[in-house]
Amino acid sequence: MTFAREDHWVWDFWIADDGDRYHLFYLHAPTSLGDERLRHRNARIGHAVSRDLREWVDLGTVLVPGRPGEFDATAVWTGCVVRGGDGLWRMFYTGSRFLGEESIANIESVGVATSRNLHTWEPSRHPVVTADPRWYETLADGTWREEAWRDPWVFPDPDGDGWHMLVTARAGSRHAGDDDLGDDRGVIGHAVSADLEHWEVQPPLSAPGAGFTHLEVPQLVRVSGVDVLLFSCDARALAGARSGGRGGVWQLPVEAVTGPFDPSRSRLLVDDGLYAGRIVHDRAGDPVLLAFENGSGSDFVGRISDPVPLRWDAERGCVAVAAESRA
Amino acid sequence: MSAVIQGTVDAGYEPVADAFRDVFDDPSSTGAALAIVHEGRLVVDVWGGVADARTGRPWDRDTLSVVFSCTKGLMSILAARLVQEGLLDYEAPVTAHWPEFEAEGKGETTVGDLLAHRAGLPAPRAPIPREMLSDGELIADRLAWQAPLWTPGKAHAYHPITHGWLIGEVIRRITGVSPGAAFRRYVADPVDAECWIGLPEEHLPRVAHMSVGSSLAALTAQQEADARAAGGTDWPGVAMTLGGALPRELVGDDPAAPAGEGFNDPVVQRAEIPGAGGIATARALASVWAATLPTANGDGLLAPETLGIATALRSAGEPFFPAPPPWPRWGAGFQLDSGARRYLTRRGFGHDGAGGQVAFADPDASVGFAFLTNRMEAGEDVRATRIVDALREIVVGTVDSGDGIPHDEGAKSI
Repeated sequence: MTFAREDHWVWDFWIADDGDRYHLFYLHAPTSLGDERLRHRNARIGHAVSRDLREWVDLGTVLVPGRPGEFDATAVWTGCVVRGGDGLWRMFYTGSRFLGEESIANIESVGVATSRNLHTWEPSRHPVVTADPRWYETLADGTWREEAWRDPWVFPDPDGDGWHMLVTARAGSRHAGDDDLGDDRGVIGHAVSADLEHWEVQPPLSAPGAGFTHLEVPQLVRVSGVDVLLFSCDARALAGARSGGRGGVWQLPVEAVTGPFDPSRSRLLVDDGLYAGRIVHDRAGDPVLLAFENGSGSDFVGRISDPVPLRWDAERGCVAVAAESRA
Repeated sequence: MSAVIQGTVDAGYEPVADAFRDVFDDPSSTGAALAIVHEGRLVVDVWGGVADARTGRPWDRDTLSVVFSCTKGLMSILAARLVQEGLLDYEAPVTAHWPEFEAEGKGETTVGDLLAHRAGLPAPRAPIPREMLSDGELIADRLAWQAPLWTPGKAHAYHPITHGWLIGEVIRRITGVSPGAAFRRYVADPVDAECWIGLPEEHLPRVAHMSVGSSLAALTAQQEADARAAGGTDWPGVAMTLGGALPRELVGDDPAAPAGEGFNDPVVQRAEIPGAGGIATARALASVWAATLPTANGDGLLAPETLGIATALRSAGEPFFPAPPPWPRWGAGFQLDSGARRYLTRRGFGHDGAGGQVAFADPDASVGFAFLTNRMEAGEDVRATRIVDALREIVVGTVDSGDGIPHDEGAKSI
């Protein structure tokens, strides 16, 4: 059954697997707000568990916005969970601070909450990594409605040399070096850490001009031995040469998980009826896609789909929806 | 009006049957069953009334009933069996089997503390939703990480439902099977008893529908009003409701759910809830309790030495949460004879259950006893007490327990 929470919209999510249960962390906001676009300003992080990715037990809200003035004063948004060598689970999440009640301008930063058990979380109270204007667009640039620095995806260095963080970010004007880009500044932001505690911002791992105003909810996942970068961008957020095309969950096979990536070669995995997709492996070891059901047109659905079986399409060199799911 | 009572009553036990008949002051809304094993023989096996007052379905020989906290007595028998097998030690720290339990300063809690309501975990700090009731391991995990409400071992207060998941998780880790499966293997199957923790689906149609009687409704309403007036967290209330999974009375009738809610819900009946979710016939319960008594040929469930340490007093006196006396007394999970719950003699041990259920063994009287009813009452509910009094007069020969302690009516536990 799809995961839904009564009287709430549910949208972006991320999953931690403790080997016994899958832990779903999801954004939610009450439908009593009336306008689904207000959910972003009222987002909290909830927690549910499942053994099979289908039957979920909701455990309620685990992270709420911080205090006035803090980096996550308005809302807590999309993140990921990793476990360090110290045994601690860390949830890297997006903190958002809107500049005014009526403004959509907001500054995004990445913070971290820690847990010993995946159930109770202690937030950091301060961001651990923020957009660096040497390479990334900030609100001060005046070129975009938000300082995009969100949806962290943290993974270990393949050579054991610390950790990497991918971030939804936008190229700053100095990096872009090309005034013709317009809004087409979406890039995969990058930061590195030796210890999961101290992070150093690095130049983007992709170039702007790939056709995306943002590459949301990035995830690196291995499917049939191939590393794939997954991200989401809906039709309205396409730019440049991709303007007017179909949006949704995108995929890009990569040769190295530490980049560089060329999103201009991305292709759709599923269209934007589903969004913020994640690929996880079920208990049989098979890859499945979960995503939130976006709805079509103006009717926002706001719940998380059942797993969609996937396969590697060797002929086309990409991930594809497995045929059985259409039966 | 007189209720129609069915079953068998051996000669000499008729006063017990008379006391049982008195239970049915309204036979259209009450079902009940009584079983007594005396000196190894089933001397009383009677039932009557309705299994479901909503439909008039009669209570028959094979009707099953939710036994609520009598389940904790069954789990305590199981724990004692494992002690006897050398697999469990009451004095061992819980962390010997369950390392995660040490979180938040609980590392010195013993297995005996879990059983004797001394663990400091009578209620979950984080609410347990109804859908989680089927996942005892997850609930146990959350209790392991939780800070206790008092320093473990330093005080006691009744753990109405969490008790089962706490000792159940230890048992699961020892035996490698779920608490309900371990109970079947070590207790119910050897006695051939129709008694389950986690009811197999095929038996669901046999279960009586539990109804909240007026005294229980009044008591819970009073408790809720008192808690609101007191302010703060109503921990005894959370201990019953788990923060939302169950109604305070443990059962309810929900128009949106025809089967009912709480323990009337078949989903809950199928779940393994080792603190309160056991389902049995009275005959099965009496047989199990009788089987705990030592026998000449040594084929009982428990040996005399095991029984001695299992029923040694561990908790007594004023509990952590204020409550009027008389207070219950606890061995290693067993409710001992006390002013709060009299058995036949001072050495009786067992466990009663919400709404009037009573089940026990008494080694001096050589009795296994079980009374079950689906009309749940509280406060001054003396239905089972009068039956026990009648039985005591037959098998012990005196109305009181013979030790000079005054006979008290008083608080009944879950």
